[in-house]
Amino acid sequence: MLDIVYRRRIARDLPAWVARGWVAPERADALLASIPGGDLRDRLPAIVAVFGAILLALGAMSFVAANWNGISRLLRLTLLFGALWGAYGGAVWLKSRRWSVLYEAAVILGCGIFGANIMLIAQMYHIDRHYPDGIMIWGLGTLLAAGLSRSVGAVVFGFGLLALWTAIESTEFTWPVHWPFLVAWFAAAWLVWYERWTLGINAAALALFAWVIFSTVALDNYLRWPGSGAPMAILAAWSVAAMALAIRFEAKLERRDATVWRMFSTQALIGFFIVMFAVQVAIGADRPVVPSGQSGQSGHWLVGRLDTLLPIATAILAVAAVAWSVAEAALARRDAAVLVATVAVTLACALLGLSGPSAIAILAAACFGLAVWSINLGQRRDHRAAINLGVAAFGVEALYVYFKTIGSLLDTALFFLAGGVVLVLMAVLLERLRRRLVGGDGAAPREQSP
Amino acid sequence: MTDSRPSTAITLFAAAIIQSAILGWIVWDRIDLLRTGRPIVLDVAPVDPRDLFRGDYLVLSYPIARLRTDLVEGDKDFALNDRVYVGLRRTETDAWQAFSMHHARPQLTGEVVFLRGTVTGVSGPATGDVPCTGDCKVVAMRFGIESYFVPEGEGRRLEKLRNDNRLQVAARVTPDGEAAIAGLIIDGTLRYEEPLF
Repeated sequence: MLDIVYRRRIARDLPAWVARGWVAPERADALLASIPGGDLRDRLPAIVAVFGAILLALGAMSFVAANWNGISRLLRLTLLFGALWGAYGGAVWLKSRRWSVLYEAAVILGCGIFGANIMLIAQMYHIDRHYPDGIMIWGLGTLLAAGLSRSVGAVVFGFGLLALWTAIESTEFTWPVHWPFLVAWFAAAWLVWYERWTLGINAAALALFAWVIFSTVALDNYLRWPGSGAPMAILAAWSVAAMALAIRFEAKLERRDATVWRMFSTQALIGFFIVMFAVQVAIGADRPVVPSGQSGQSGHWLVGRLDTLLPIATAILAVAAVAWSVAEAALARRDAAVLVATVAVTLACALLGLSGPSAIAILAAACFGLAVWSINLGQRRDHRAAINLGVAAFGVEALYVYFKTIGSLLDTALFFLAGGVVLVLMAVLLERLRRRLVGGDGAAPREQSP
Repeated sequence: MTDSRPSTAITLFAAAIIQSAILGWIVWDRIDLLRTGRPIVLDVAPVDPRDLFRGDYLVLSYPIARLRTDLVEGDKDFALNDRVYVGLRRTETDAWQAFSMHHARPQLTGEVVFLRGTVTGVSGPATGDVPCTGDCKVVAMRFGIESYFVPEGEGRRLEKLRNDNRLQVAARVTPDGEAAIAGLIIDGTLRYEEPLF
């Protein structure tokens, strides 16, 4: 799967190499053809086959709704185990016929049947234990089968189950932070990193991001933090740390691994914008916001101050990650300044209990600034996703501000006018500065990511 | 790199073996409990919800799952998620009733069993209850025998039987306190008996 991303990058760079005479034109096509995974249309059967496998697995699970009491338990167990072995046997046969697409689907089907069997056996024997354990066993069994069968689809499925497990444990039960997830996650993440499965690495990153979000929500519920500032500051700091680390590794690793880390930095950027919007919505919501240090949790003094200490600790972590990236020359100082300022703003909202129109205005200005920064970062690093995300974030933020302040059109108009003037002035100043730095024609050399 | 790896047939065979072993262990654990556990009978109060994954089932609520610390022997200081062992004794009506609560399982002596559970809540006594003698709390618990899966539509019929006080649960309990439902008793007669296979 990594080849698809790698090939896309080579295809983008190849015309420039041909133009510069580094690659002979007649060899360009052969070079591109030597990297598998080109045509997206080739992947359509895979997508259809995986959907088919999911439907078959759901079909197996729908047995539960049927009245199958007429069948003896022994026969039921035989059917369940037979279906499992049938799916994996089919996978072996498909692999021997070199139908790799259908092989992936058969392995996913096997993993789906494994989960259905857990539930059906629980139903048969009226097992009523802690039900997320069933999802955990399903997820671990799926990841184990994925590792043994080298199935990328099953890996993604497994990470999805781990995310579901941590979501249920964090929101329905009393974990302050669901640590057991990390044990399973590290084992599975090592597998996908070792195998360099891009899709699997992405799934791992998304599952980890889900864990960070659900753990913060769980911690918030557990400690009964009075305001939304502390969890939001923690999430913002995590996103900044993730992005700084992703950019650092992208810059310093060999090209194939750098491709993976570029995808990470894109994901972190998406998470970052989501968090920043969430910060605004939470602070703009009706939930009372009070300064940190007034947690509703009694008991040990340390527990009562976690809503102050945790945002500060994660902010320090984020600043350290940014500083490391700058020290390794992976991140420019202006990028670092933007990221640190963002952490500082969200931390200030949490610690000072900022709320209402003033906090929303500060955060809105920060989001507009971040959108512009993202576009700029994308231009400098030839990172199209960052440009697209920046443009999208700018539009979403403009809509949010419009709807948020629609009750007072004059204020809305003033905000946009003031923002527009600031941005135009900023653009003029930046362009002048850029021209002075790079020479008269303004043709700045691109900051190349290695 | 791929040459040194075992073949797909071997690795998938291993995956199927491991997943089957996990499923087999779940089945065997239950069969062993139903085969060797000590039989008890419990009064119940079922309702009829539907589980998204597992179809129709009765939620079984037991009088022994809600105990007042001043009315039973043993430990008194329970908190949410604590492990609890409830001592049960057979009554004249054949139903087993609670007489004690403990943090650790006491030695088995005579005609008693200890049911292992988890504390799901601790609260004050309800209005209208017998007045407390000193400091008392109501401890709510789960024992892992709160769900009984039934064919679609059967739940309503069983719910009606519950409302008429005609339903009891036959269970099996291992020496370490784990319980499993062995059947449903209607009007004192075992009607829904759970086969091992």
